[in-house]
Amino acid sequence: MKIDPVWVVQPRADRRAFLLAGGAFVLGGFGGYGLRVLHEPGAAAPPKNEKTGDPELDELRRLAVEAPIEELSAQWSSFVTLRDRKYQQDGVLVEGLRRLVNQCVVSTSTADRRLRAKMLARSVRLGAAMRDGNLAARLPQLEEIAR
Amino acid sequence: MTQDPKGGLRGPTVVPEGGVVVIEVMNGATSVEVSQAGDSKTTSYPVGPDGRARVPVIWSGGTVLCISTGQWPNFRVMLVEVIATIR
Repeated sequence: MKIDPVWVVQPRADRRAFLLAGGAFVLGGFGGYGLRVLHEPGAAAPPKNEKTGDPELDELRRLAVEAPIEELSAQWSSFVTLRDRKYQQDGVLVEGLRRLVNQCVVSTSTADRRLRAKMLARSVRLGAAMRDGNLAARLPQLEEIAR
Repeated sequence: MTQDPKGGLRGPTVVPEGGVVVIEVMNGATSVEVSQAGDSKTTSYPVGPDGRARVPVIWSGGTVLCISTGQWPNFRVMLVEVIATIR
């Protein structure tokens, strides 16, 4: 009895078809990822740090988006207090809040970590930060640390 | 006791609800502003001739109080946690 090979795809045309299909898959993957990133809440680029004419707000904005995390972290209590009291709706300051939240969640050696988590959890519920889906998603972790 | 690293305010880090926070003000400010974390409302308390501000703790346990003096860049803040008392 003779057994003939069965080709799922024809050998020659198949190479091109395979490459085309593979290329389309890769492009589709990147395209889909790009669209997801663009539409993910809070994943957009941080707002531009433009001068406001309010020296206090300008300095807080600098800390939020330009200063190294060490500098922002060293002034976290002033930053969060002033943001909560006066600048809750400022979108640039939300970026600083996000950096502080990330540091608090990721770094177990953060100074005053429990108190920070407690204060940050309250600040995240306030003003423009509430509209940031990524920050809201961090709340359970902050509350766990704050216990 | 805790001290603001840059100097300015000194006081306890925790206080029982219903108590009084005594803050030593060392930067010449005549009043302190008090708010609770996550709230924009502030209340002002005068600094007495002894250089201390007395803040009655009307907030419930779990609240974090932000007690501050001055404006940026001379803004100073210290945080005090209110703890619940067993009744």
